[in-house]
Amino acid sequence: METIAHLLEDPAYRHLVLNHLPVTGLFIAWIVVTTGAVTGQRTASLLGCLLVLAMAGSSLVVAQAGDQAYTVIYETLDGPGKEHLDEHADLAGDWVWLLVATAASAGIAFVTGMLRPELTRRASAAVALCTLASLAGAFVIADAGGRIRHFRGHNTAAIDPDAPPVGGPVAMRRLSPGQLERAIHDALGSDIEVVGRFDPEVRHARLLAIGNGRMTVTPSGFERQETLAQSIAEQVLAPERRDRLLPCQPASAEERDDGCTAKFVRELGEKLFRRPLREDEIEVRVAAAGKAADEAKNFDKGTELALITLLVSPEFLFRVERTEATDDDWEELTTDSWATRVSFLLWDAPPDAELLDAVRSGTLGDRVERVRQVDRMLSSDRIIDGTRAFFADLLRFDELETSTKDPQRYTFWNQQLAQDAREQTLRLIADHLAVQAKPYPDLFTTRRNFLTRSLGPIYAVPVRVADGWEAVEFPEGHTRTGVLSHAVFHILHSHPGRSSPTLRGAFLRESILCQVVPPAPADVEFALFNDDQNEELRTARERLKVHSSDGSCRSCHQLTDPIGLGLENFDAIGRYRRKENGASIDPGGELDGVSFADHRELGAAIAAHPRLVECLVTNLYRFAVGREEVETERGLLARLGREFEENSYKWKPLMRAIALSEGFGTAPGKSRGLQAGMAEPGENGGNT
Amino acid sequence: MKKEITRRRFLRGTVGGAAITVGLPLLDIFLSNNGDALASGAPLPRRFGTWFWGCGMNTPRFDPRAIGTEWEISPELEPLVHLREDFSVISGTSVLLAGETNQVHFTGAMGALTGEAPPLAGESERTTFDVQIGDKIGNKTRFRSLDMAATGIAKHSNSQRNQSLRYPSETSPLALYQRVFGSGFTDPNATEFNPDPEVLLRRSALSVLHEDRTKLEVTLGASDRARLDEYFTALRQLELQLDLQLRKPPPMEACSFPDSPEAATSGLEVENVIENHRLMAQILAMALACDQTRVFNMVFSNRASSLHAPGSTDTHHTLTHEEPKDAELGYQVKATEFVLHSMRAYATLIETLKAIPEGDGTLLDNCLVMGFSETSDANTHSVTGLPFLIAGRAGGRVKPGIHARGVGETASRVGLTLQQAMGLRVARFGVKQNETDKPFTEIMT
Repeated sequence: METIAHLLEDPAYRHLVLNHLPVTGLFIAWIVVTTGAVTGQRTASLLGCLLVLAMAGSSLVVAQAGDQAYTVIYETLDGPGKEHLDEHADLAGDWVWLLVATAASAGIAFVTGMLRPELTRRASAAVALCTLASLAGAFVIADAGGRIRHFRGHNTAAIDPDAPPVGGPVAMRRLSPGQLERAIHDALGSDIEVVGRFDPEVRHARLLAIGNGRMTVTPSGFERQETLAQSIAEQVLAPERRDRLLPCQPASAEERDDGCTAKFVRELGEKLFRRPLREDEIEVRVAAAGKAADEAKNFDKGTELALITLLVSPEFLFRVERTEATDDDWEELTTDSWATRVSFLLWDAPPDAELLDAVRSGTLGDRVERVRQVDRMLSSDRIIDGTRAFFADLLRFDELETSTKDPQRYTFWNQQLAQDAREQTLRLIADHLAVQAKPYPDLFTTRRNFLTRSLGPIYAVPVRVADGWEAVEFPEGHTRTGVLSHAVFHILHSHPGRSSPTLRGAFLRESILCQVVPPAPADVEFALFNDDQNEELRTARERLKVHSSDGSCRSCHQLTDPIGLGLENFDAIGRYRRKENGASIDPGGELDGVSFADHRELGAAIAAHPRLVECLVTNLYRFAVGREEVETERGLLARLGREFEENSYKWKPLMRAIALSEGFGTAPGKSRGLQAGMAEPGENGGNT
Repeated sequence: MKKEITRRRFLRGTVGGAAITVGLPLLDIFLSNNGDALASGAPLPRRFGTWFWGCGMNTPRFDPRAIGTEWEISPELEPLVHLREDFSVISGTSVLLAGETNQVHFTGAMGALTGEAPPLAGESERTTFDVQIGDKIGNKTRFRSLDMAATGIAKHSNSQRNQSLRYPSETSPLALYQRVFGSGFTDPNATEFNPDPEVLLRRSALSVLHEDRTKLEVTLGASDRARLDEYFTALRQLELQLDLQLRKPPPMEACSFPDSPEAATSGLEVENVIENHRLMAQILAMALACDQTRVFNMVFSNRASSLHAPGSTDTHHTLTHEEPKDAELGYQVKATEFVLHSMRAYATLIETLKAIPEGDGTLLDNCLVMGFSETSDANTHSVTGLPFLIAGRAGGRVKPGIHARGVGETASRVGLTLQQAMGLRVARFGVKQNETDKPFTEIMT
């Protein structure tokens, strides 16, 4: 019951469930009332009138739910689907009065029949006629509704509760530049310099983390990786580090020492490959290193070679996720692959020594140990790294590197400001979620913030600390309320010379609410909107009105602009302003049926939006597994969402639930070798 | 037991880390008497390149009027007037949409390079034809291809094997110089040759990785196995580079060791980009002359060009949408400035290639360079009548100085022509409505 009540909160679902009443329900009512009118049975007539009243009256509820759901449904549709939805909505708007009138006539007929029984039959006959007309109208509306195609509602399609929540396919996932650097620092010490440019990351389904599960390595990227490996090997073997990083000393500095090399490869290899090395992997390296040491008459030359082979290996550059068969028809991630997934999710780093110990000793196969390890990692400060990595990806902060502003209009602008704005928001999010353990939606209404000197002029507040960060709490009603007031969003989602309500609205819809905003058509005319020196149209709202009244523009701009205009009090670098070109800015608007007066109320509306938490759960889950969810995971996502709600939208319990979920640790059967029709040489090949 | 002698073992046996000194007489014996081949009998290498500028042109001011050989330089081709006999113009062809969405600033470029109007937003699974050419002619040089962006942004590139393997661009003249002429460069005309023992060590390290491959492969699904193949393709490319460093390269007449460029100013201001492009073009020309690569992709400005004039943040792209057309002239004056900048830069590249003598002619004669853009009219993102400028003679297989037109026909015809000119045995190029078997024979010899 609770589930159904939960589903009915969604207007789209409510609409779909209830819309049978004014059609099928009304038809049944019509039969009853017609029977009454034809046979003259007073009970049937009166009952029929009541039924018609209820069924025709329900059209109001259905229409209201439909109105509320319009925007949300609209974005899930393709072009023809959109046309049908509009037709459906227009017809409903034009003809719903007929149903309301019928309901009213049924009500009057019922009262009449109660007061003056002799008129019952005639009254019910009139109602039967009205109902017939209404039915025709309802059928036309419903028919248009039925032609809406490609509806992908979130709660509407049935989720099979008995289906095992098996995860999707595993992948070779490229380390991000940040993860690569952290992996090297964790393995070899944070004083190792990791310099170099890597292949640019690609966003897929809104996340770099998913793009990294699809990327490979280009020849120039590999060249750079090898150059980096040489530079790291050189640093490791430099006199100030060599003795600390080598686990043993060779018998002679001028000869091979296979025992010492094997120890080095075994210990360092485990850290870099995030799993114990197989014997053959060690042997081939020891042999090659031995030859190199012999030829150069230098033990360290062999060590250098061995180290390079580890640092350019696909097993280091990619997180190679492996699975093993189970008794059921799905597979489980090997313990090392599971540990790696967990560690990168929680810490954005490879497994630490304790987690690797658990892999090596085999205890990680035990669920109790998995829970213990996850809880241990959650209680570490390093959870902040994982939190920041996810939000930096979701909020597209990497794009700051290429954002530029007009230096004449924005004299405060420089790259340092951009980087500080990024840091500010990541700090606040990590503090709010992972340190203060406050609910996620409160981020959009919080008055806490972090400031540094360079942000002072943007926020128009004095900053006491000369270096570093200062935590502040703004007073009630302050303009800097909620994370949406942060400069970083306004910098990212603006043009070089002016703000952009459209870009801001699209960002909120897509990244924060997981809604789809279609791209602009190719032959669009921009000249009028962008003329921000126009005497007549001084604010963005006025300029946007010009083309949001145009039919072809309207369909998408009604998704983005009304909410983007709520942030118009912030210019393209995030400074607060009341006026644009001398005209007052009106930041009021509506978000999916909730009206707001300014960005603070917009923040509150976002915080209360039914898609907000569902969107976060979906994105974090995708980030964790490096791909979009598959069919068998939809029930799991719904459950994770409910648990998130039960835990008052607390961050760490959500991470914990994802890390320990079935989908996170499993994959469909035969997701490996057999796919390509290859004979499998050994069921668990490659796994130790 | 391995029966074959690996290259590594072979090299170790012959080179053994010792210096080999080879004395060689210079220059006059490089070429055979007929002037189009090296003395070794190998013909002069043919090179292929693409040169991209963003945001197109104004068709009426760009396309020449007459077709054939007797055409006059149009106003927007004016910067190329002195090179009239060094390039051909192909006008009128389009990426045919046939129901696909015109994905703005993407469909035009990817359609021309892959022969397909990409069906998904921002994604194409097809291989760009510069890569197909590279697979054929680029596997004997240190670099299969050199990719550069004068804008200084690695993502500004149009070249890809598939969606998950997009080739990033070099981002500065200095980085390009160091990659080509840094420590890995062996001067083909040097009299002494001293292989670096460090190279042997690196080469051995890479060999080890092949030994891990089989056991890794069997644990992977089909798509990951394809990605692992790409990893090993990249690895073999580096192995080839290292192998070449262990061999005395054949001499190249036109090659001379260039000076390192100064660190240039970065940024998207058009003057910076022009200067970066000039420096990159010089290094590129020498990289071609020294046979370090035979394929290149130069991005002068990105798709939806972000270039801007000094002191203005209106980019070329925003100008194409926002600047009103001049009432008298009938075109966007400021936006058109960037078209002229682009043509001047293209002229710079051609001049640079032409300035290097090779064989009986110049380096340009052995090159084929396709200048192209992602739109014709950028204001409406039109992919109809795309501009193509084909410079060089591809070693005698292509005739410059011609204007060919293919109104209403697919731009795949251009790609097919160039692939055939570069010696690929392809009879057809493109898919669905953009498939063609009709090259522009007008410009072929």
